[in-house]
Amino acid sequence: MRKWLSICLVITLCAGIMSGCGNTEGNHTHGGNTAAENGGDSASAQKEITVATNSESGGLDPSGMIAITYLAYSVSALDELLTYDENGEMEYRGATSYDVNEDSTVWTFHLRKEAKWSDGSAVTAVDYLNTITRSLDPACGNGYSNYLFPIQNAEVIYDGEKPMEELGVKALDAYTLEFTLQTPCVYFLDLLRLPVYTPSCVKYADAVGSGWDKDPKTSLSNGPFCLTEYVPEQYFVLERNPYYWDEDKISLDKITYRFFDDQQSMATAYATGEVDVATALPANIMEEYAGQEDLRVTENIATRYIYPNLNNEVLRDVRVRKALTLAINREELCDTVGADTEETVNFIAKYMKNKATGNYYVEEADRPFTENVEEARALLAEAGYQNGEGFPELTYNYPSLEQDSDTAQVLQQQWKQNLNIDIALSPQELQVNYAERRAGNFELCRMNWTADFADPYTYLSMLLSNSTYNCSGIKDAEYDKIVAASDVEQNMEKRNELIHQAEQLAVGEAYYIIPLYTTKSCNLIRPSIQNIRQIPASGALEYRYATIVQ
Amino acid sequence: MWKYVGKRLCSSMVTIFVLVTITFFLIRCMPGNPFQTENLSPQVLQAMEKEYGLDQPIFSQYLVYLRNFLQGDLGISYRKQGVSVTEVIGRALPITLLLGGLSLAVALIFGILLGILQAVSGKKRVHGICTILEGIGTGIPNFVMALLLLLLFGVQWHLFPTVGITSVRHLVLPVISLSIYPMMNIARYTYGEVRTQLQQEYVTFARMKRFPTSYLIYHHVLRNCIPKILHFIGPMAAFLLTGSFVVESIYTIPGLGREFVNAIGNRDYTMIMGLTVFMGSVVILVQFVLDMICVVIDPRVRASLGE
Repeated sequence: MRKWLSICLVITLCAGIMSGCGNTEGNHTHGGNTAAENGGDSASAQKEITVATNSESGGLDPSGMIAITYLAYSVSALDELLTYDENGEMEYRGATSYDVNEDSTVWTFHLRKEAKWSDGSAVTAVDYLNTITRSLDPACGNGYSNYLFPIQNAEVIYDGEKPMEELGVKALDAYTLEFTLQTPCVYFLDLLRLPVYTPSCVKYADAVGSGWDKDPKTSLSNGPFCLTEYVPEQYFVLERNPYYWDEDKISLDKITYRFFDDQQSMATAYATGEVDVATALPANIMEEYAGQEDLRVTENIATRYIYPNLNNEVLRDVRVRKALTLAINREELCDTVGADTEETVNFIAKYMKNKATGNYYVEEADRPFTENVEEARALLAEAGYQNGEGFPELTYNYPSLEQDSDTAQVLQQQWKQNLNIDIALSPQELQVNYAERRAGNFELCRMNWTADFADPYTYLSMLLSNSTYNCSGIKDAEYDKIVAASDVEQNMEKRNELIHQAEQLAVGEAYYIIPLYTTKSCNLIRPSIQNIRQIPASGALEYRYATIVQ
Repeated sequence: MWKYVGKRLCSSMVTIFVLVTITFFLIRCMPGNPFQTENLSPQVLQAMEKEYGLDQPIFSQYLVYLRNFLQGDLGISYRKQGVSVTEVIGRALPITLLLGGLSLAVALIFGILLGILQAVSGKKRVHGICTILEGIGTGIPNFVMALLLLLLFGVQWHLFPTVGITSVRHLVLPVISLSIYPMMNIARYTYGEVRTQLQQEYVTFARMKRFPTSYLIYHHVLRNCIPKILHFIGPMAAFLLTGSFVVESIYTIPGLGREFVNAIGNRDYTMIMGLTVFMGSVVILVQFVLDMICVVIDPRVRASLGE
């Protein structure tokens, strides 16, 4: 009996293991999944790559809820009117040229006549208009709708106070699109890369949430790749658009995007060979892959900083804000937090390039301030807190992510050591942190801003008195005046001056924000995949021109 | 007996109603909302909240939800536009059921076999190994087990895929991670039960009559143990549903657990509500059905109900 039982147990165990192993060859039939199954090696032969992306969120409709899924899709599948390459050179995509009137209020785009949707039909001005009009409805859930507000009447239409007919965008003919703006907007061309300015085929893209965007039959694209399969929660497949006007430049046949819940699983999948590209991985990957070709570190166009709440009696005193700013040793901070951070003393992202000069904006001006513990102590004393005595315990709110938690602890320790003041730490879930910040319910709050478009205005506009992003109670007429002037200034040199002046005022004189560092993205890419570009506006990777070398 | 069935049915309904109410208000107490993302303009956020009725008083939102719920409408996901909650459940449920069902089957088969082996084996070594296995199996939480298996069989030896669920091979690691804990629990329980039974007088009698041990085990001992092991299935089904949360996330399996975790992080109100109510109902239903089975197969229970 005993023997029999043992034999039975061993056989069933072996059978279990064998059934798992026996299916190795069977996987090749799984269509869009082959690249994921086989990893980089076979991907090279078939000119296809598998990219890891964050879990499914939002849709693929440029008028709908924009989240990581759309952003992953659109870089390969959709052509905007025009964009800028890594050197700041303009690259025409959907348009072939544009005209602008003298005061930059009327912009006319001449569309590419050979541009086709992936079903072979022509891309026309009404397709661009389709996205814009659908986005001006709060029900669409589009977080970029506010970037249409420079257009005449767009904001009042969004608020339901005027009919759509009064919108300042007209399709003059099938291939001419005219934008009339509310006020001059010198960075208007930079906005064109945003989802709300990208076309959606008027034939199928009828409404947000109708499901057209995830159905390969109706989800047309005007870019180099088009959707051929969409499996919710698992993956989606893009294949070459046979009608793409610039098809000669495209080398890949297929891109599979796989959804992952977290960055660590992406790194694991890269290690097991199930994906070829994994982006924005945790910093420990840098050490793990140090010196290997797979590792590619890219700069994010982002600034991590702290909002001191001006409605707080203590923080209302500029000397206190300045003391807090000067007392931080950013070099030490970044050393501790990780190799994916780099110290900054600016508000404008450290790696945002000035297209006119080709330099980084922050390098064109003096540092807004220099760290100085002695001066910080003196300032605090001047504000009435000699050696930190009597200084109330302020609370620092931050999301309970690893990087921010490490940062908070270093800050707490540095402020204690340098100014002898106590800061209470309040880690919050990300959603909680957003909500509290929005409500202005904080004393010191961590903030991160990734540029939406490649112009400093994306940063500077946040601190305007009437800006809805302004959550720390900043009201500075002088600052508002300078930013408003920069917004309409046609002369690029003068505009640059105004930009730097505004930043100097906000960061180096009034200390409205406490800049900490800029972040880097740690990516793993199979060495055989080349020509992956970096989008200068956001720092994200773009795979449309990627090639595979043997 | 029908009175008992009716009573159990009513209490199940009340439990579900309480679950809906508590979940609804708890979710609304969480700070944050489904539309908030890092770069979102507060102006746009406010417009969206108004559009979706989130600016209404909580109680009237609750009444609206309750009305829709009674009509079988669990709502549309806030974060997956155009996708209804029932659609998501319909998509994810088969996957979670497959995973849970397989794990349950594996746990039952191997758990009972291991338990019997331990009980009837006279060798001290076999008994010792089984005890150690059970100790390890019940001591290591399933997410640690999942990570361990992933690291060894996926990353180190490249034996099994670790992402998604597109072939039979994809099932191996998640099923093992999920089944070990219940398997070892069942083994331990079976061992105890079988040993107790073996000391019963009817066994001694059967042995005296020279029945072979295998016949004795399968025809008499196991038959007496099964109803007791059945009691395990209810809580175990619940364990496999909830346990799959972490394992599904680790292996990126698009089942209910992963949907649930994502929905909470995203504050996808309708989705959290729908999934909680659904899973709660499943656990309540399983418990109800098992109770009924017990009534049918166990005369002692029937007797206690006064029949």
